Amino acid sequence: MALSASPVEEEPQPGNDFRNHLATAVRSINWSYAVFWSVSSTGGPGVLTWKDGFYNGEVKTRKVTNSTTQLTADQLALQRSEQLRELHESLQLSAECGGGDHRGRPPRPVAALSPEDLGDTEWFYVVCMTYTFRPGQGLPGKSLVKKEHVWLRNAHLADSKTFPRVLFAKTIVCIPLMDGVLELGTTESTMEDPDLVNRATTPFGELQFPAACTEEPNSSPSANDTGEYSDIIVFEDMDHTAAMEAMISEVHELRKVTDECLPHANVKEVTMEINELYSICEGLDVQPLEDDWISIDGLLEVPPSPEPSPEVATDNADHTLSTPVDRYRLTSFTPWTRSDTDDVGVTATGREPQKLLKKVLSGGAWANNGGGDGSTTRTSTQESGIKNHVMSERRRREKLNEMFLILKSFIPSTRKVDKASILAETIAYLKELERRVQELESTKELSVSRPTASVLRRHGHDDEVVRSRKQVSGAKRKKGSELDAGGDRQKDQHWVRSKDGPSNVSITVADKEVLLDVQCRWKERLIARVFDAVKRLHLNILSVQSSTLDGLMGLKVRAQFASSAAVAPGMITEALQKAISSKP
Amino acid sequence: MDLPKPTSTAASSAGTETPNPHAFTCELPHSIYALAFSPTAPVLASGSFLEDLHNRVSLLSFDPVRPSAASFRALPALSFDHPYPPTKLQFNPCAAAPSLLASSADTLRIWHAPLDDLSASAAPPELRSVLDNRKASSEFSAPLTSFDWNEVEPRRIGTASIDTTCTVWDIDRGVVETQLIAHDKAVHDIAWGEAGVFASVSADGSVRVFDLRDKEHSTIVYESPRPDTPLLRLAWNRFDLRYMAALLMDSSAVVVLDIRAPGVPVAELHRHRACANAVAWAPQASRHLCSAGDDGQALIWELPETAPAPAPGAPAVPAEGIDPVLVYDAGAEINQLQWAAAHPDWMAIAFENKVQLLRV
Repeated sequence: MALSASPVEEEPQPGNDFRNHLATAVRSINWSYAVFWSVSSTGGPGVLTWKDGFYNGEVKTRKVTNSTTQLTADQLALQRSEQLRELHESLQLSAECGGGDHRGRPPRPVAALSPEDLGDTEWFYVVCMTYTFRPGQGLPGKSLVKKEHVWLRNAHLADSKTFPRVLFAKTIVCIPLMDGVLELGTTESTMEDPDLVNRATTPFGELQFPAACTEEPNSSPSANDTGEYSDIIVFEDMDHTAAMEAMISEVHELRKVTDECLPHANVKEVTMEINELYSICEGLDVQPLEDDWISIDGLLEVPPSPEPSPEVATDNADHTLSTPVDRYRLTSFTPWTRSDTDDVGVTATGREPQKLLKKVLSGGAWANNGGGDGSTTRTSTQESGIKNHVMSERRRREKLNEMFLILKSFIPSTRKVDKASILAETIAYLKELERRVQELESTKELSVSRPTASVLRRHGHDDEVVRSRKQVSGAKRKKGSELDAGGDRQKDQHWVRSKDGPSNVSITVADKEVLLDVQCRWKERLIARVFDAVKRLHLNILSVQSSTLDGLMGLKVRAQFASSAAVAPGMITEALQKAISSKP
Repeated sequence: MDLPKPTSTAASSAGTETPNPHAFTCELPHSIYALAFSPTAPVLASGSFLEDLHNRVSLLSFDPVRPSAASFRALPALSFDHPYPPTKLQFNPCAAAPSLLASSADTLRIWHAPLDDLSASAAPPELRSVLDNRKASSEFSAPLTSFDWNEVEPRRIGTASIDTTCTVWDIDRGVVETQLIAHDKAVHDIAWGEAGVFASVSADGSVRVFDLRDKEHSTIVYESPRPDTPLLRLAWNRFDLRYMAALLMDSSAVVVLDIRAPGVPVAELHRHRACANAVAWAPQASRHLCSAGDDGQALIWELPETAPAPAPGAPAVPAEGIDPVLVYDAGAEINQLQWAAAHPDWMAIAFENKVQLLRV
């Protein structure tokens, strides 16, 4: 496979002049990195490969070299870039060498930096070195084709077609320059600024490059002022290394495939490749990779410590998603940035917010009358149906509460206001009231009985009578004429009488007609005796009304005097009384 | 060499034409609301939301080990009809217990869903019980807005209803354990904390915690700042029972509560550009949660470390608010979000008629 490592290998000492220009360019606009992609013959016609770069971003660790020369900040930065490139080289070479036992391996080129020294942006920078772009592919490719600069803002949100390298840098600009493309990137989201483009490309203005040259730029290898690479760290061989290399090569393959496939949006192929990759990763028990990245995690699991510990690698591999913040993992999510509010995303303007959620919570898809057709008008009426129910339920409750209060107002001296107490006190009060009523009624009976007795007495003595007496309630009938005695006796008699059963007689005389009203406890042959008595009194019976109530017989007789002689009512009464009281 | 003219060709930054290669989409014939992951099998249940009597619960299978667009698909053999649109679906969270699927709509229904056979010849889930609390004389049963299955006591399911009550069912015996009048207005969501403790949110704007050992009293953990702003959704962090999250009506804020400090939220997350619709805690983390809303974004947040007993009134968050850590753009209003408990790498979202499986 054509790796971009090849041209780099042929050029052990990249032109420091050129790099200085890159450094100046990037510093002038204060961005994070500058990379120059050059059109190289090795990759194919017009293919852009990583040529040189300058890293101006965050540095995670500063490797102190044994160099005695004091390095300026600039030089340190240059050195850093060089170190990053070297690291990349060494990784590439280890990938190239392939698997096998480590004993027979030639000593590999060493890098001043080890993988864990790098921060995220630095890693990105390293990764960039592996990329190649066909004409029109990716941002640099497009820029080359269009021969004008391409500005990509919010790169992290771009789809993988536009910008296959989903990465940190928020803003990227690619400017066609000389025989390649200058790419500048920053971790901040910046508005497009043509002036910035100009500033960046100014340093390169004076450099002369042969137009037809597809080789490395003809720059003089200047003195090595980037410091000595005297600190040597040997890459320890790992059991996993072989596997890692296989993975790296696979990733390259995959990347190429995706680079090829993406313009045609052939997701299936990509998926297949991804699946293949996953199967490899499965076997290695390491984290699966994002298709565009080198296995950064995998490399991090290869610590160049004297005691290689495969456990460390496995631990990292078993690192679960308890922190989904780990950005290099395979994820649908992208890191969040605070971008302008009118950018990106679907703003639901004018639409009802939380529409479906509200529908769910309203319980409005069904109503008392069963399911509907799903029309929205029906839904709204159903919703209002539910609301009505709720409202009526609430009204009912309020009504109940009101009535409790009213009930409370009837009860004397309750201090408690809760419903249970109100009810309990009401019950007690009602019982109390009933008892009193019973008591009163029983005493009222007695007081009521006296007036009737006196009336009857009078009646008994007074022959002129036009009195229709109200019937006392059934339980309290008394015989009238026997209440001659005093109060006590009356009472006794009353009681006595009540044992026998009450009875009373009333007579009403009007002209020739006599109305006899007899009420007494029914006894055998009572009516016969009454009629006998009536006959003896020489009264002709015109009509009879009889009724029984609770064993009490009521007789209403209309009679006429048979002869012209009127009989005294008192005598009639006496006779009747006799009749009904006589023992059978 | 001439420098290129500074003509601008700003590339668009929000292109969503090319699908995100790590989001797997399944398109269904009707709009989806309810989602539920199975704790045993790699199956996602999705419930339609049609306002009629012909709804459907579709079971979708996915491959968490080797995910691909092809492996995320519906299982037509295992899909079944559901009369009213389910407001929530949930599998039995206790993996050891028999695999059941519960749905809430007009009543609570429990289905047998063995899920050991996912082939085309498998039998669809069958209805095990319908748990209905309506009185015999009444035709009207108060619809259920939500329910929650108690993980510690898998025979307990708590339902929330618009008739202001919460009902706790013993589903093994098929009877009501207790019914509480939880709020003054309709209850919108319910979540179990421990075996006998649940919390509920309501249209009356309060989050209340109930303890079944003391049914007379409830604790108000939070009340919406503007009185009577309904609270729509609630999520209780299963991993760390201190934390709860709630969503308000017509608000983009996600309110995070600490039950040890009632009244004052731990944080209010304001980065959604439109109203929030769903919130879910990470199943195995104490400070990560995800929320989704009408802006089409699913945001993953990481709450900052707070002191064990935050001082009352003193915010432990930066003044400008907490930013989310990760974002996913779906391109349409996201109505539902579920984070798989058995596969913490995966979460599912529902928007329009699509279900998407996202990798975290």
